[in-house]
Amino acid sequence: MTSIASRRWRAWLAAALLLGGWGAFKLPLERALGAEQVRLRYGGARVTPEMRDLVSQGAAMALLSGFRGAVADYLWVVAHTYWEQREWFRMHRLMELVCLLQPRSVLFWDMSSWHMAWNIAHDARNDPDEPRLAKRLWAERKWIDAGRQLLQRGVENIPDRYELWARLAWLLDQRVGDHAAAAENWRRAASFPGAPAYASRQVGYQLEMAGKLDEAYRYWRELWAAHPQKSGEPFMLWDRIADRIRQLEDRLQIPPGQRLDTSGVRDHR
Amino acid sequence: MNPLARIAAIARNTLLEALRQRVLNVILVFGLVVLAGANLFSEFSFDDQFKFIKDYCLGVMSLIGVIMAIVAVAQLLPAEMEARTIFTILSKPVRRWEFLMGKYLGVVAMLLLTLLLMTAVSAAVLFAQEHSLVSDAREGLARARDPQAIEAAKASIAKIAAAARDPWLLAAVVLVSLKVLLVAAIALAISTIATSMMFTVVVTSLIYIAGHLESTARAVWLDPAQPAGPAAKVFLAIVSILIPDLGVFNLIDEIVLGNTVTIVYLLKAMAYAGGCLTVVLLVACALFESREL
Repeated sequence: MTSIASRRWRAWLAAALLLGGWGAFKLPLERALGAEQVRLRYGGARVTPEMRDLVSQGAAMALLSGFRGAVADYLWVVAHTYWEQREWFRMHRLMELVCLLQPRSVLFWDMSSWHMAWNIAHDARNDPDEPRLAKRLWAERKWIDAGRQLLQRGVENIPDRYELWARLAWLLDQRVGDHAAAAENWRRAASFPGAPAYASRQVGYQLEMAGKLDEAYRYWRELWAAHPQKSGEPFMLWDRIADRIRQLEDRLQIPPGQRLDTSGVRDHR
Repeated sequence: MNPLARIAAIARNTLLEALRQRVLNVILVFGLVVLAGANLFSEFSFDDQFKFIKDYCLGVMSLIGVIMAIVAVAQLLPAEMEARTIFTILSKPVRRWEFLMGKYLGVVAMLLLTLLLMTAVSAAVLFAQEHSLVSDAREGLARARDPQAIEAAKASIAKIAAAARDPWLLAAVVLVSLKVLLVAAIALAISTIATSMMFTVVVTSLIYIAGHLESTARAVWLDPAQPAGPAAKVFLAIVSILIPDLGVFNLIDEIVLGNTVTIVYLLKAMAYAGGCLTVVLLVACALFESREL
């Protein structure tokens, strides 16, 4: 009897020592891995009581069980049903939550901001239940601003890819009319590998639209000089860039001797 | 007969028993049917579709894998005791740890087979979706006349293929497998002290959920600025020390999203899982040694 009891105690002691020893060893390891996750921007926000209140009990359990991606996808589908039912505020809340759950998903930030700044804003402007134009315009601006703010949070979470910088630039250009800020964001987008060729061109166009003609001219010349082999890049549309340069040279009255020779460029479209 | 041969014999038997179990087969068939239905997302854009299919398939693999691990392990020892075969086996020159390891490895083999099958079905779903989307894109390419539209269609085909055949998905499957094997080891350790199958199932499930909250518990415990009383801090310290951090496997989400995952981090996560697995199995062996049979 004593032997069984002492064997049991010894086993429990061994188990406790093993777990305690491993615990002391694993804690610094887990903290290092956690810090690396933060540095590499892995994972989403921690699950908070507010988040739990926004989702159903089942989804909350799934969230707590590590099925963050699946829960985000499910909520995304639910948000789309709210879109079909024109329940904008519910849709907005869910899309914010989905972005929070998977802040490294380009898709969620991109589509959510598009819904807010374009679809909902357009609907708010043409709301048949609101006869006052001022109120409708105010609502439109509010939704555009919600889309812009969401994208700004998006680029904070995914600063290392071109997509959201390009989306933000597009929104600032098309919906806000802040062309100077749009140019800056297109410049950021164009600096990433894999960015489409039009991102580089958009910087110049936006600077021109912002009235920064000197800066735009300098930019076009720099872009021209940075690509001596123009034949391999058909989508840069060098003939259009040459047009822009010539037009700006006329508008800025650049002396003939200082003008860029763009005569050799073919139409690559 | 050396210990390895004895362990292999027990593992083989356990695998065969597990493959014959109706409950596990039903769970597996359910998982395969659910996986095969993954292309219900076809009304979304192709970016959405691949993300949703990957999340869905890996989620189902993880869920079915964990359920099968808990159910299979939880009934190992009670079934042996009920049938009294454990007494026959242990009366032979088989050490307890050999018996336990044989049982665990048998379940591991069954789980790996299951995961392999689910991976094959997931790959088939991805392949079918890729095939359908590429066919549509090729039709667009055939119609395109403008060079820009042709280039765009070609880029679209390349993007679809890259999204469907991402080699990092295999790393995600490995991480899912490690998580499932770790849960099976935890269930084994619990079952060595449990008196019923239900106890093992409930406690392991709770540990599984707590494992995903371990990083939060650790942060609150170690951060002096966090408002928690001494009793709460002691509780959080115990949770942080005893329970493995299953949040380490969140890397799966990053892989699905197509974000850059470093090999170094991946290897560290795998090493962490390996360390946890070893310690939990050692604890299971120590506890089983003391169990009165």
